[in-house]
Amino acid sequence: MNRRVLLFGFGISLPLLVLLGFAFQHDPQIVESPLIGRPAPDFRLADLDGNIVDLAELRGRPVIINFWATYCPPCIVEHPLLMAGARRWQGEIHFLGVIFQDDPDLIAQFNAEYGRWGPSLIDADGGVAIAYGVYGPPETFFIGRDGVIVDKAIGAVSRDQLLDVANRMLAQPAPATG
Amino acid sequence: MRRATRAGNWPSRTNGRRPPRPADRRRATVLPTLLAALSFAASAPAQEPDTPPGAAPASAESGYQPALGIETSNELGDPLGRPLSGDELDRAAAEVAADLRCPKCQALSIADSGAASAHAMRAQARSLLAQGYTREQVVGYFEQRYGEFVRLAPRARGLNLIVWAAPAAIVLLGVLLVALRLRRRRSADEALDVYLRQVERNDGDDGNDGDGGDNGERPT
Repeated sequence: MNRRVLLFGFGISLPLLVLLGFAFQHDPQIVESPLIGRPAPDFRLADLDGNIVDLAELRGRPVIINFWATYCPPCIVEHPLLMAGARRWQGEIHFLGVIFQDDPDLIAQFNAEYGRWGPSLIDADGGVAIAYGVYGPPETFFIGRDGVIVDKAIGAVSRDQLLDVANRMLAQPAPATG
Repeated sequence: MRRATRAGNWPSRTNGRRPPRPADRRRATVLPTLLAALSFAASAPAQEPDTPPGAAPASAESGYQPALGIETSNELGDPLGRPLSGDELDRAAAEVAADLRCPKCQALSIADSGAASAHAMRAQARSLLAQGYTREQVVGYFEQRYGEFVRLAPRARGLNLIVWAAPAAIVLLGVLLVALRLRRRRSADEALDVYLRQVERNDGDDGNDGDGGDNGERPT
């Protein structure tokens, strides 16, 4: 009888342990984006100075879009890295910031204090964040020369990922025009 | 055409409290990254960040300019339904909102969540339904962006079948266990009855041998 109880217990608990072991390897907050490998949704947004940025017009050169906010600590942590990246790839990669649920005045203050790595675009109704399936800031989308999303970083982007993906995007051949 | 506003339409995330000024933030978190970034950018020329060639001053716009934001029709194609309005729109928007998971507070639907993301998604869904997109098209639009995770009730296919079948399987297993237990008890009761009858019979036999009284057997 005891042996049967033991076997029954193993039969129930073993699959549960395997399931838990598998699940603990993944952060439930991180959901892989279905947009990777697909064309980046085009948008037109105004920056803090009223300039309109049209994503479609930037095709031909890689674009890094970072959804960020001043209330988000990882956004502040990654800010110097993005500043450095924007300087390093000046003229090679476009760096665009999209304000995620934040007051543009606070963004302007932040930029004045810490510097800006690119235009901060005002996504007033959140439609662009929805189109990119943003869960929360910061999220960074890497868009290749052909307008296809190459990769995505959730949370503060790391130096290694930035270097790796930027080099991959720069190595892409320019899309045929005409 | 929507106007580009500096204030934006987002509800405040701070419930009336002013967000902390950047200067108030702990600079200690910035410094280590700043040091790493400085070494990263050592070879980079010190220039102003790139200004995209696509950027044009809003005041210089002339003639037709597409609206600011995202052109959802580029992503969704043509509406397959008819534009909804009034109560019908309210009902359809509420149904869609109840089916979609809030990306911020993941245990709630966007109908139940007070998060700004949920607010924006509700507004987006309502706008799409008003334009004539069907409920399936609207849910599909969000699913294409956030993945199937955005559906509160996953589709009954593939591994998801486990989610749908598990409750029924557990109930079935429970019923089976109870039935087995009842059957075992019944057979135990029957065995006990047999045993008791045997004991009574033995008692009766003993009575016949001893005092010649009733042996407990009924006449047939």
